[in-house]
Amino acid sequence: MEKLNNWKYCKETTITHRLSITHKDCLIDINNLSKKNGAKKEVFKKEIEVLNLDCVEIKLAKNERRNRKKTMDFVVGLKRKNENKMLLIDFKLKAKNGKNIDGSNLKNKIKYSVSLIGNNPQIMKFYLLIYNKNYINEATQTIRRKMLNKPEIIIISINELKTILFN
Amino acid sequence: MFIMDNNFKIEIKDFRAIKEASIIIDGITVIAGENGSGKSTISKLLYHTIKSSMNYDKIVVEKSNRDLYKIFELLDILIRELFILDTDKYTFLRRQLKNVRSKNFHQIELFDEDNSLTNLINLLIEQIYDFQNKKASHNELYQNRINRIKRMLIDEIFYIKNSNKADLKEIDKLSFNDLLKQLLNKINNILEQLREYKEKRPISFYYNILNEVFYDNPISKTFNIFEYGVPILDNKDEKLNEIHTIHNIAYIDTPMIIGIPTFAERTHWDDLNELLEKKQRTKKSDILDILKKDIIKGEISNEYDEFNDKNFVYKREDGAEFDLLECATGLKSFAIIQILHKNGLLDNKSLLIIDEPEAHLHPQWVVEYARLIVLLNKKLGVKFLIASHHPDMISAIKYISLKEKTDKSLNFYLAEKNKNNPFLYNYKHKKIDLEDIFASFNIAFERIDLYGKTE
Repeated sequence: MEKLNNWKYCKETTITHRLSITHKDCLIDINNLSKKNGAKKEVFKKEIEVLNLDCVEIKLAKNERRNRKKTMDFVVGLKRKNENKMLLIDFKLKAKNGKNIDGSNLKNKIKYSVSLIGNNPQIMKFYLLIYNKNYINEATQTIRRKMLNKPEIIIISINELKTILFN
Repeated sequence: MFIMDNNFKIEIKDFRAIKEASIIIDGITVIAGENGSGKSTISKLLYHTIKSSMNYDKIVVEKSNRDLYKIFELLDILIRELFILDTDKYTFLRRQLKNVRSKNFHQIELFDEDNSLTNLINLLIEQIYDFQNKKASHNELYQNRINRIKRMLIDEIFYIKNSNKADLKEIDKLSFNDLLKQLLNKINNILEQLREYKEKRPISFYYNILNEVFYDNPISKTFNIFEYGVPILDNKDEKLNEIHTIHNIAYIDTPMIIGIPTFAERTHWDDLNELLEKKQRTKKSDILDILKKDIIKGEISNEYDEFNDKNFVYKREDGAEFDLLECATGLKSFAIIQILHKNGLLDNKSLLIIDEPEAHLHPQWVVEYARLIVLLNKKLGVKFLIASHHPDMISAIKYISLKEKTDKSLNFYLAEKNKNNPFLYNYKHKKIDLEDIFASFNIAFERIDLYGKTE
């Protein structure tokens, strides 16, 4: 995937993010998180920590005594040479097809997640949805049409995610 | 052991862009693929084969009538040229010819029961013999006329283009009566061939029909259609078998032709208009209600104008009336289905072949059309072969079929490029898995990203 050329997962960037420091208990092994969200087996190497945004939001909502808002599932820190960025990712592994995507719900999730993460380090201006490999093309079709053809949401499989960022 | 094979299967190998295709038609079949991958070829092959099998006798009679028409025209000239000055004979012979022509040989049986044509030729032979014995026939004017008609007879009987000079000399020696006898032989041959075609249903006759449709690429034994596993093109016995499970077939490749007379090279357009102009038989059904209330907000009726021509009129639910020819093309797509249904042509023995049903339709109507296809299949048993490029059409057919529980008879196919030749395609059966089909559609997004600025 061209947009992530030479970008790789960076544990340090992930765990030193402001939210990771304030919500250390929301750092989670990606294999655990993926299994909670529908993955049938552990595909990633051990000790890859990502920030569980649902966990962060539950805590924030409790502290601020407000209703929970929807977030993307997790954020990871990336590194390319001396550059660092954050990337928002959502697991859709429980989906039984690629058609049931609520465009406005997704937009709100992204918008709120971006506001949570802030801009230090910068957030990538595209977002990943992780689908079962059998629904990737259908989901791509659905999402591009629902997002007015903007290519900012990229749909890949869990194995592709592993290859692109975590190998 | 009795095996319940699929209702219908069309198999094609090495024909035009199709490297290999084996396509089941058992409910709704959807084929997807790039432009030029041979989707319309499949539609045409299926349509013309089934139509030829269904209407074999009718087509054979039409061909014989076309051959006889040329002979009638020749006889007409002959009578006018030779007997114009003998009013009684002229009137008598013309009347005889008119009688023969008016019989309109629309059924093979009529040829067997009727010998008026051979009687007429015999009568002409007799009359010309009389005429030639008369002095008047020896003057130069008549001699020229006789020579001209002789020449026309020779052309008609011997197809002069294919004869060599020596043959021509021999032919030239033939008398007028000899030529008329030869003409009689030719008529008898046409009638004999007609009886033989009807009896044996030779496959060669059917291949000639297909060669007219696929004029640039003559058909050989590159395809077959199977009904419950039995080949319709019986190449062993050289026979075109009869089809039992389909009695009505329509091929719709554009809704634009509704109500518009067309030309012979697109016979399926005229065939469709013929079906649309049939008498209405179905007045009420769930499907008609859906069409009327949910989709086109009105209905199409077939009415006569002041010149006694049939016209399609769109009567909108608010009472307004429009000539259908002047209405939106998308509306015509639904109108065709509505009229076919009203005319009693949609049932479990009907096959609708539709190329790109989504053409001219707003996305919302694309989904309505998909729903109509699924419901026509579910409620009436209509079979479909659909060629589509449209993600919504494909998607809607799948998910509406799943909801209506008709997905077991739903089959998707994708034309995939052949590994050794990118201009040839192999049709892959995908059942109801749309991933590869969507992957082919999604190339469009890559192109938008490549050529356009999207951020």
